[in-house]
Order: sequence, then C-alpha cells, then structure tokens
Amino acid sequence: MSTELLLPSLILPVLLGLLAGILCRKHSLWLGPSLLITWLVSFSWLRGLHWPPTEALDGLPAIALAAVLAGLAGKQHTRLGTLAHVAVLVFGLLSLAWPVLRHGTDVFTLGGLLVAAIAGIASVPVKQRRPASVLSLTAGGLALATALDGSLLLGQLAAALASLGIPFAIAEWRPRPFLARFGPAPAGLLGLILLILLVHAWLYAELPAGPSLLLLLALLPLRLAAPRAALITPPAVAVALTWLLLNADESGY
Amino acid sequence: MKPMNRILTTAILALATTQAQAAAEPGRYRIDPAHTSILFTVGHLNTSRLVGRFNRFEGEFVLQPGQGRIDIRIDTDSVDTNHKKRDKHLRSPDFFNARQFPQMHFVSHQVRFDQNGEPVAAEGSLSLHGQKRPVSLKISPVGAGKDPWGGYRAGYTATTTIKRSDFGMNYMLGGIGDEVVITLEVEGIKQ
Repeated sequence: MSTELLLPSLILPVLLGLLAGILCRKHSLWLGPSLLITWLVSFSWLRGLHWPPTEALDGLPAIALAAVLAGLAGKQHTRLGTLAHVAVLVFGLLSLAWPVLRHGTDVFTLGGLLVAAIAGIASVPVKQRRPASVLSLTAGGLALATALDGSLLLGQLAAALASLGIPFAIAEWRPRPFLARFGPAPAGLLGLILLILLVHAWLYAELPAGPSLLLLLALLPLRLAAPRAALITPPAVAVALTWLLLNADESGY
Repeated sequence: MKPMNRILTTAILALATTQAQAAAEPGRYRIDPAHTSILFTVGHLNTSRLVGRFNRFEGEFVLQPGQGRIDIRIDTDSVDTNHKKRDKHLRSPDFFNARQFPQMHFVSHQVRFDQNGEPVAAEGSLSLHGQKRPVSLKISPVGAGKDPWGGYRAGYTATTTIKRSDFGMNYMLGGIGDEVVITLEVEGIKQ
C-alpha cells in the first residue's frame, strides 16, 4: 500500500490519537472531542470539507461536531446526555438517508434504518470495560469490508477511526499509565460515528445486509458491562469478513 | 476499364455520395436504446485507457435548424466496465454515488446545423454527481433512411471530453484519469 493511502488512514490517526491520549490524561472529558477532531483531520485529508454538503458523506463533520457538543453538554452519564446522544443519532441517520429517501422509500431501507437506530440507542450509555477494543476491532472490520468490496474511501475513513482507538485498545489489555482512560464518553462519541459510517456503507456502497448486521452485532458489547461480552466482537467481525470473502468476485481489482 | 463500366461506376459513386450527403428528415426523434451505445474512456495509472458504457438511458433529439434540441438521461447505476467489482466501486460514493445521484442528464441549449441541415455541434449542460456544468458535443452524421418497418431513422456520433473533477468526482485522481472522453453512438427513430 502506498504512503498516500496509509498516512491519513493509519499512521496519522494512531500518532494523533496517542498524542490526544497523553494530553488528555488529566482532563478525560476532552478525550472524546479530541479524538473526533483528530478523525476529522483524516476526514478532511481524504474527502475534503464541503459546506454546504453536496453528498451525504459531507454531512459527517457536522454530525461529529453535534455529537461533540451533545457529549460535552450532557457528559454521557446523565439522562440529558443520553437524550442528546439519541437526538444526534436520529438526526444523523435521517440526514444520511434523506438523499436516498427523497428518490423513494422502500421497506428494506426504512427497516435497516430502524434497526440501526435501535442498535445505536441500545448502545448508550456505554458500560463495556474494554470499549476501545470493541470499537477498534469493529471499525477495522468495517474498513476491510468496504475497502475489499465497495468503497475504498469509506474503508479509509473507517480505518482512521479504528487507528484512533488502537493505543487505547492496547492499554485496555496492558495498562499504560501515561494514557487517558478511554471511558464511556469517548466510546459513545466514536461508537456513534462508527454506526453512521456503517449505515453509510450499507446505503451507499452496497455493503450487503448480512455483513452489515454482523458488524452492528459486533458493536453491541459496548452496552454490556461484563468484560467477556467483548468476546462477541471478534467472531462477529470474522464471520462478516468471511461472508464477504466467500461471496467476493475472484477477479483481482 | 471499359467506357460503359466507367460510366456505371461513376453513376453509382455519384448516387452513393448524394445519399451520404442527404440530411436526415427534420423532426423529433426518440433514441432507440437497442441501437445506441453510450461509451466512456478514462485513463488508468497513466498506462492505458479503460472503456466503459452505460446500459440504461433514454432521450430524444429534434432535427430542425433553429429549433434543434438534444435531451439524454443516463442511469448512473447502469455503468458497465465488464468487471462486477469495479462497477460496484464506480457506483459507490468514491465515484458516481449512484444511490444519491441516480441519473446524469445532458440537455442542449443550442444545436448548430451545417448548410445541409445536419447537426454538427451542440452546446448544453451536463448534470452529473450533483453538479451542473456546460458541455459541448461534437456531432457527425452516420446515416439516415427508412427502416424495414416503415419508420425512419437517423444515426449520429457525438463526442465530448469532460473533467470529472469539475463535477466533484475527485477521488483517486492520481490513478484514475481526470479527463473522460464520452462517445455517444446514437440511433433515433422519428416520431
């Protein structure tokens, strides 16, 4: 892979995520916003910032910023925080789906959006003790799935999200005292963006429904407190990727 | 060559030339999708040119000096490069974003005709990927005449070159060329 592909989607997010983790060690409230802004740096590199948005994808920075504001206002743990999170999720899904829905609605699209909304609402507040591992693995799975069969751009954006969480995922298994704790607030923010990216891949890049649902399933342990719940994620991601590989066009491209 | 043969050959050539120069009958023509091809050519890695096509479209044109008009709508999700995986990628937000922008549309503002009444160029606008830009078509007649079913048909080749970046399709400009040559081999049935 060329540096042009690796730099904005892997190297830069890992380094900036690590930096955010070090700088926010004593101010964990700012970890989530810092990570999302870091992701937006990768986003603007790969996609560019367009206002007003011409494509559904161009609305993602606005959704990310709304999520940051909602997260800061409600601090995730309160009922207000949860309500603000749900409001951003519903707004995000509707703004994402509107360009498709305005050409005509169908049961399949509406059903998929409803499933995504329920899964998104069910995942907050985050109770998982290893949320960075769940997020990074699922985002990595989405990156591979879309890059292999659909959209390289969405694959890169998901890879950037996965890379952000890698230092924190490592710290969840081998504690690193110099890093801020990746708590429920940043997990909620990044989880929301990951869910939006997943729905985007399903709606616009023809990610099949089966692997999409499996990747959604891989995110659900975020809501579960038991550390072992995180073990649902690897097989769900593995089955989704295997599904895609088994059904992939064998010709190289 | 005997004098009689020479006369006959000259007469046939003269007739053929006259028929080729005859302009198609003025009127409104519906594009026949079964005998029309919409092709595009784009560079790949600065080493080769890839040819693709669109398989679903509809449109019409009006042959009438002063009132000429061309209107073509193409379904972007019908892109076909003879490679399923690449076609899926081309439909994605990286390129056409076919779910959000299901059609591209060319409509002329002005069609120029030669002295025989044949269209030679068209100025118009192309809506693609949510952007509308002016585009010029160079047109050359292929032929015209009655078909075996009592109808009347006219055929043209139209070409233009666009820059996909002008339409906001900026992804992978390094590997996939910016300039795209579009060729329309059109057969219209007079209405």
